[in-house]
Amino acid sequence: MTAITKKICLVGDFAVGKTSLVARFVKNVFNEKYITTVGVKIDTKQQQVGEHELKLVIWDIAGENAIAGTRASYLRGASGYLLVADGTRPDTLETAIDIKRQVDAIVGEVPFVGLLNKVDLTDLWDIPESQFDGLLARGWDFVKTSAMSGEGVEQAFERLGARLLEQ
Amino acid sequence: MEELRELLFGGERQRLDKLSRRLEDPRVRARDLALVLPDSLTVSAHAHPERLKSALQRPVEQCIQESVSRDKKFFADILFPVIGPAIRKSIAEALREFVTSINEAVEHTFSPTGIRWRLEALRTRKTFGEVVLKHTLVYRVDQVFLIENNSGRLMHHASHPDAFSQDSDAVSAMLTAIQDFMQDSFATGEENPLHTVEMGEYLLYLAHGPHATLAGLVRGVAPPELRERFNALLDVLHDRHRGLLMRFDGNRQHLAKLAPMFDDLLLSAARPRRRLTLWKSPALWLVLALVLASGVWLYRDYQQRLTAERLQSAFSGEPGIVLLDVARAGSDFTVSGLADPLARRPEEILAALRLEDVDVRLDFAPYTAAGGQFDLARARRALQVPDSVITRLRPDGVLELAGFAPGEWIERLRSTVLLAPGVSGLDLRALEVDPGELEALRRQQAERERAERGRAAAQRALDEQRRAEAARQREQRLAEQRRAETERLANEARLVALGGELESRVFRFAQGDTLAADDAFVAETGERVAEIMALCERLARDCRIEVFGFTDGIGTDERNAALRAARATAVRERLSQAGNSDEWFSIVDPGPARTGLADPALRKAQLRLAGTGPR
Repeated sequence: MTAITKKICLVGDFAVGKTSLVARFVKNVFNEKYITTVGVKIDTKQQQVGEHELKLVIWDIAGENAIAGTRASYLRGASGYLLVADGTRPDTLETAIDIKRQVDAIVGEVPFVGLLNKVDLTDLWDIPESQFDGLLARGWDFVKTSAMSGEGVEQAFERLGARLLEQ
Repeated sequence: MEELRELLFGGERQRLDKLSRRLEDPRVRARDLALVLPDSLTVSAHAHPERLKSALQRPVEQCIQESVSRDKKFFADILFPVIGPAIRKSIAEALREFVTSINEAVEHTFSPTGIRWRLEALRTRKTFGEVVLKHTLVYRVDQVFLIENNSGRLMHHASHPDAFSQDSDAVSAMLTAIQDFMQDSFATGEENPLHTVEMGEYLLYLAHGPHATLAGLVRGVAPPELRERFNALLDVLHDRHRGLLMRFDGNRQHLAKLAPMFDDLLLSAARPRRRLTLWKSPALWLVLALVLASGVWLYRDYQQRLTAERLQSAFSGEPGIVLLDVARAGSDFTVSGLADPLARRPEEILAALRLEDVDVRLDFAPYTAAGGQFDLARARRALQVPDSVITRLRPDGVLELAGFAPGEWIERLRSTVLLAPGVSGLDLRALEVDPGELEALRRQQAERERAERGRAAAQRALDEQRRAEAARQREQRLAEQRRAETERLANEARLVALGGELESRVFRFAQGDTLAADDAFVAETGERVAEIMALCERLARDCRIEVFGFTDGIGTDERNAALRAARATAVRERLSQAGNSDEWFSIVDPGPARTGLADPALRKAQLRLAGTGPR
């Protein structure tokens, strides 16, 4: 069966662990230096969603507070995205909210899954529950992940994949 | 009312009833439907192709699946006309490429170019195949990507079987990202997209359309028309398949039918191969050398066979020769067999063949050939038949001799008992003594007798002369013996006389024991001794002269013995000084004097001849 290809983007603030998050779960094709040079690194991930074979082409876009210029064009044509924040840094969630707004402006309302990363550092966990609940109430879908242990990562991809095929 | 209804709707009711029956009866309905179904499908295929496909897809797939699972052979038979040629074409293509690659590998492996390329491969750490490709290929389209402009997703990918290929989806996306990066970084805008990227020996062609970008990775130097091919394909895609491009949802299966168009773009062109001029081909030279060597070998073999046949023919046809074998070892021959001594010598036969540059060894053992010719020849030789006599061997084995021959020989022949092999008897009736021969024989006989007589007379004279000489020599010997005997006797007499005379000579010693003899006496005595010794030598006697020293009876015996010895020694020394040899003398002590008185006469020394007996 031929896989259906979908472009997704990986966006989030600086050092929230986007690249580490996916490094163990994707097919690495290009060197990570692309992120710092071209501003994006492409990986692919194949997964089974129901009876469909789905191939995700993941655009790991360099983290920045605002998406503009080059990075804006990298978002073009994305079918969905993973929005990453660092659970130990509440400001990254704020940035994520901001980034989501920018992404929606560029690509429209497409499926996304929020990733609260570094769940392994529970002692340093610093996201106010109120803020978290607020986002859930706005329909955000969150998965707590850990690049260190791999917890939640597959789940996040699967959830986004399923939502892409629902479209 | 009924009638009225019948009048008003009777016809309609009948049609309704008829229609109702048609609709209720499945067989009638199926027959009716069969009449309109083909037309209905045709109309639907034109009006709603997608709906029709969608409707038929599932049942058709299920039918095929069912059919295959039930009878695979039936389906294989249906597909055979299609698959057979395709497989043959594929195999033929694979074989052609295989043969080409073998040809190139062989050509490039053993040629100077091949060695140079191998060194290059070692130096650049590339495989030999890559280096060969680099040098033999002008260009090759390794990969073709059709990329959706908006998302960078890969819509189709085609690649050369030998080309290295990464994850094409990732490559396609990254290519799009890089284009975006270039456009955004240098603010060129979408109206100035990237057309060409050069990377070493690779060239990336990019042809841009409204919905998709066609990218081709070209290795080598591509001709300008290649870009035209890319643009042309992109135009075709946007013109004829715009819907497919626009509706692309990530499922490449929908574009699968376009695959042949992309495969056609996987073009390549090999460098025109330099034709190897015939004379430069090592293989040709090798073949020529082999042919030449074979030719030489065959010619030599033919020559040797010819020589063997000539030898065979010459020796086997020769009377008196039995050929056993003609053996060949390289260019040397050994001819072996049996040869009658009366036949032609094998060396002559060989020489008559005039063989050049051939070493022939002859190994013939003697034997006796049977047959008239050899029996006759052997008989002539055995009987020493002169040339003046002709011979014929009759079938019964009797040898007929005719002609003139010496009578003596004829006589000897008559008394011959042992005849030659193959001859049972002699017929001498036609044999006559040669008259001239007889006269000559007589003359020779008389001459011989005369000579014999002369020889006898000479012998007698010689014998007489020898006898006279012997008598004279005998006489001479007797006279000699007599003279010798006389001389011996005289010598012996003289020796006796000289011995007596020597013994009579007394050497006196004066007071103080000095020798009183004078020189004349000593010299005379010495002459006598010398004469005696000469006579002894002549008479073959071992003569010696004994010297005796004497003393009187006064004094001790030891003193007197020493004195005696001293006196004898003094005499010997004087005689030695006079010319006599010391070896002639031997000193003999006569012992003490019998008298105890002083006697001056006893102060003396004397000589005596001894050893005069025969040896």
